[in-house]
Order: sequence, then C-alpha cells, then structure tokens
Amino acid sequence: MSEEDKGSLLAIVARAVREVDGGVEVDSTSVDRDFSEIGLDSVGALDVVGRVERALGIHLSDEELTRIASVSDLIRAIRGHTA
Amino acid sequence: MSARYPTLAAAVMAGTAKDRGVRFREPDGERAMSYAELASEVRRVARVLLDRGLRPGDRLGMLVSDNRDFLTGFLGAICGGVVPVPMYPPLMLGGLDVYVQSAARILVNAEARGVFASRALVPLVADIAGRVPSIDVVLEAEECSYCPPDLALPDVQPDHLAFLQFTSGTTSAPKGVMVTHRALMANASALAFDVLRVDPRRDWGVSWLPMYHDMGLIGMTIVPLIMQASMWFLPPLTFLKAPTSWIEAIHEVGASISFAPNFAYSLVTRRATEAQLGRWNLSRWRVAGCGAELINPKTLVAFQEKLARCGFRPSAFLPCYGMAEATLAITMTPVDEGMTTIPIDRARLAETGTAVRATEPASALELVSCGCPLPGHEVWIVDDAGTDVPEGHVGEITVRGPSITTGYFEDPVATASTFRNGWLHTGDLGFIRDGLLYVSGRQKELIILNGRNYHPEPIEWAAAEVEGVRRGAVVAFSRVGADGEQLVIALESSNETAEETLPRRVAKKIRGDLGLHVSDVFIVPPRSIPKTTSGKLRRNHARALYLGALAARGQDGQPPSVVR
Repeated sequence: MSEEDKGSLLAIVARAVREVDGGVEVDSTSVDRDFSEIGLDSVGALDVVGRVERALGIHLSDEELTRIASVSDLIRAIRGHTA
Repeated sequence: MSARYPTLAAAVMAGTAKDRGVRFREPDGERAMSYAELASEVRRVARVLLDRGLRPGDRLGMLVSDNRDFLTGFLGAICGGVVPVPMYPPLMLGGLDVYVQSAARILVNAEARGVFASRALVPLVADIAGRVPSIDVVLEAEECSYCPPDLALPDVQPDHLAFLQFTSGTTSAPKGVMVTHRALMANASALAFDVLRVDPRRDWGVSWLPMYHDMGLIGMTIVPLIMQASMWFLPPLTFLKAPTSWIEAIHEVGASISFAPNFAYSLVTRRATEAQLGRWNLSRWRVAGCGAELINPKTLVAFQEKLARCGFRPSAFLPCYGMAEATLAITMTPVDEGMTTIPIDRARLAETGTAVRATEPASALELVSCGCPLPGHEVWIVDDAGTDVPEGHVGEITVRGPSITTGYFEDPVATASTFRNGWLHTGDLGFIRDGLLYVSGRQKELIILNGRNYHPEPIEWAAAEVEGVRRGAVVAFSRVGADGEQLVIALESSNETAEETLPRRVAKKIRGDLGLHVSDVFIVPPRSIPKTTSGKLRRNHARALYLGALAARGQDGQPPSVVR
C-alpha cells in the first residue's frame, strides 16, 4: 500500500473520530494512542469502527475487533480488507 | 398455548408455534427458527451436552458471541439440567489480558466443569481454562451440530438452579447470583402476563441487548419465549457500530416491544438522520422499556421530541428498575402510562433526606418514576436501622417476593449481608410517592458504565500503581454525563513536576488494566482526600470537591484534564 493510500485511510478514520462526540483531531502523532486517550470510550470507539466500515464497504469481524485498541490498529485491520 | 410454566425447561419444550419464532439478523443475512424448531434443536443440544460428559448440576461457562449459538447452547444446558453461566465475550477493543483474568475468576468462582464457546474464541478459552482447575470439558458451539444418542433428559424441578448471573464487570471477587427456575419463572411470567400483557398475535419485539446480560436474556428472550411471541435479535455490535440499526429494525418489522438502557436512547437521538426520521414508522411500538442504569429524563424527552414525527408515542416509555439479585425486574411503569417525573428540591433531599417538590426550577432535581412493584412483590424503603420510613422519605430500597434469588453462589458472607430474612437489600436509595418508586442514588458505591456495574476499589488500586500518585490518596466515583454515568478519578500527586502527564498516565493504566474509559482525572491539593478507613466518606468528600471545581470551571465532558 502506498503512502498516499495510508494517508487517505487516516483521513477517513480521522473524519469518523471527529463525527463521534468526544473524539478529538487525529493526526500522525496520535495514531498509536489508545482510543481512550483520544477521548473515546468503548461505545464511541465502536461507533468510529461502524462509520469506517460503512465508508469503505467492509466488515470487521468480532475477533478482529478484539485486536483493535488504537487508530493505527484500526488502519492495519482495514488494510487487510482493502488490499 | 402460553401458560405459567414451572420451569424454563418446560416452557422451551412447550414450543409448538410454527409461524412464530426467533430471527437472527446477522451482517451476512437473517436466519429464522420457529419456536417448534427451537424446542427440537434445544432438545438435541441438551443431549449433546450430556453425551459430551456434562452432568445435571455442572456449571457451564457460556462464552459465545453469536446470538443463535448462545441461545441454543444456553437453553440446551437448561433442558439438560446443566447450569449455564453467561459470560461477556471479549467485546472490548484490546485489553485481552485483562479479559482472560476476569473470565477465569468468574469460572473459578462458579467452579465450572466446562465451557461452551464460539470456535473463534477457543484459543482464548484454552488460555482461560488453563487457569481454572475445575474445567475438564471445552465444547465448541460449532462442534455440537451432530445427532447425539437418544439420552433421557433429566427432570428439571422449580427449585433447581437455572443459571448463575455474574453481576460485576470488574472486581477481584466476582459474585454469581443463583437464579432458580422458580424465581426465573416468577419474574418472567409477571413481566409477560401481568405488566406487559404480551399477546403473541399482535406483539413481537426487536432486541440488540446482549443475551449474556439479564435484561437481554430474561426481558427480551425468555419473556417472549414463554409467550411464543416472535423476536428479531441484532448482535450487540451491530447496534454499537450503528445505533440507528435498532430503530431501523423496529420500523422494518413493525415491532411493538423493545427494551434498552438510557444510553441507547441517547445515541439514537444524536445519530438519527433526517432521511431516517422521514422514513421511519414507529406507530406499532407500544412498549419502549428503559432500565439497567439510572434514567435521565432529559434523554427520554429528547428522544421523544426527535422521533415524534415517526409516530413514536410518549406513552410507550416504560421506565423500570431491577437487578440480577431480584432475577431482573423489581418495579415497572404500567403500560401506556409513559414517563412520570417529579422535580425534587435538591437541597432538602441532600440535607434532610426528604423528597419535597421543588418550588423553582433552578433548585430542582428531576427524577423519573420507575413504576410500581411487580404483582406479588413488596417494596419497602428503610433507614439504616432497617425501620420503614414514611412515604416521601429517602432510604434503602428493599424488596420481597417470589423473584428474589437465593443469594450468591458459594458466598455466604455476601449473601447474608444482602439477603436478610427474605428481604433483598438493594443498596440503592430511593423513596415512594403516590405508590411509585423513585431511585435517587446508591448506597453501594457501584459505578455503572453503559449498563455494567463496577466496584470502585479495583479501579483505585490500579490507579494507585501509577508513579506520582500519592499512596492511599486516590478515589474513583462517577458523575452524571449526558448519556449516563462517567468514571472520574480524584487523586493527590506526590510529584509536582510530573503532574502534567499524570492524568494521561492514570487513564492509560485504567484502560490497560481494566478496559475502562476514564472521563476525567482530577488532581486535588495534597491532604485533601481524608485518611479514613471509610472509602465511602473519602469518595463523597472527593466528589464534592470535584463537583465544586467542575462548577467553577463551567464545563464538563472534556477528556482527562488537571483541575486545581
């Protein structure tokens, strides 16, 4: 995956975080922080996941979700579906 | 057709309806099963469990994320006389280590003989089972699809243990409520026949609630089952990823009954789009139950205002109160009455413990009625000495009746303190006015986040391990946010130079250790958290300091921040 694609995935996730209440701006410095650290509880984080799934037309399984704790984890999981 | 059954096993086996049943709406499509098919499938699963070596009375941990597998596994255990122990699958994002530890503690406490798990969770279950010496049977749900020998099913009696319901999300000593068939059927029948008056010809429901939690399992699964009323089940994750999918399903199938905690109504209000509001028809929705956490009247009013144009009727709201120790429901609002609120004078309530109508809005605390006791049940409000208090006075809510459970599994001390002479001491504070119960607070210092209960101590212990937190000077409590309770931690710092990063480090620690989201970390001046042995006093003091600072700051809902 090119750097450009990575950037656009980050933009999609960042937009979802912004749309969910409590979410703050995500940039390359905060991608590795836990959702909790960027203001999202588990309900908010799953809301973000749902928005990203709809934007990209993918479905992350329950098992995949257990391994997603940060924006970068989410981007990694998405890449497995869009590659 | 539908009757008051002596046991859940009898209710399941009586399933004969071919045109009504359960439907599972999954991301890859919908699967349906009539109640007649469910009865025969459950009978088969019961024989599989016995064939695999389980015996009546054995406890079986249920670690199943799929609704259909959970339901047939749970009911299969019930009909085989095996005692299912519903458990949360790892829904949390990350934090698997914490999950494995707490799941193992529950299974150790339940002295579980086996675990029934989804295939995808089997590697995790191996890790969990390795910490639980009593386990010698691990069953994959998908492996149980064979045709077992025609073993005789045991005679399940009303006083047999039906299942163990573990109540607390995070605690070092989990407690399993023992629910007998007698208590279960008393509660479910009262709900189905007396309160909701379910008529399977005109009533069907939608639920996204987890089946491993009492409201989803009893209220939205067993109650419809004993009436053979149709149900559509959405996975909890479907709702959490897209909260409006709940209302979308109610609209699509024309459901008349659905329950959810306060936070679900709040999420829908914020997420519903103009297009959805223009399209939805909710005119058949006659019971919109709300329970499992403190009800914020503003949440329900906002929901009603937003969805009125979809034909949603305010009379559909059915606020209720209950807990696992009472099987599920204790009080419920009668159908078609809608929400009743009362503005209480906040100062009088705090100072004298009396509920007096507020004369001006500024001093009012708006409380929601949770209705009246189920038929055959009594609710009394008592003071610290256990004496009844007059109407309108705040005290502990106590309950007696056929739904009250028999206590905590293998925990005589906790059982004796909570269940006294037939009365369940709920630990919740409230008062009665005009025959209606109002819940005003909590005596037990539980923190309820998104419908799950947490004790403050393990949270405090974890926070205390963070460098820079003064020894013994940390307390956890909750504040009321827009969607319900939020977790706040107040602490004293031992190192001023590291204070700036302390809130972030504490929040990260709690997240990592317990999987909980901290809404605010509050650093209080040195020596302002009193050194008393009463955690309650300390928490109350810190909470008062916090609320004062919050009012001065004039904001809330911000991410962790230092307040001085």
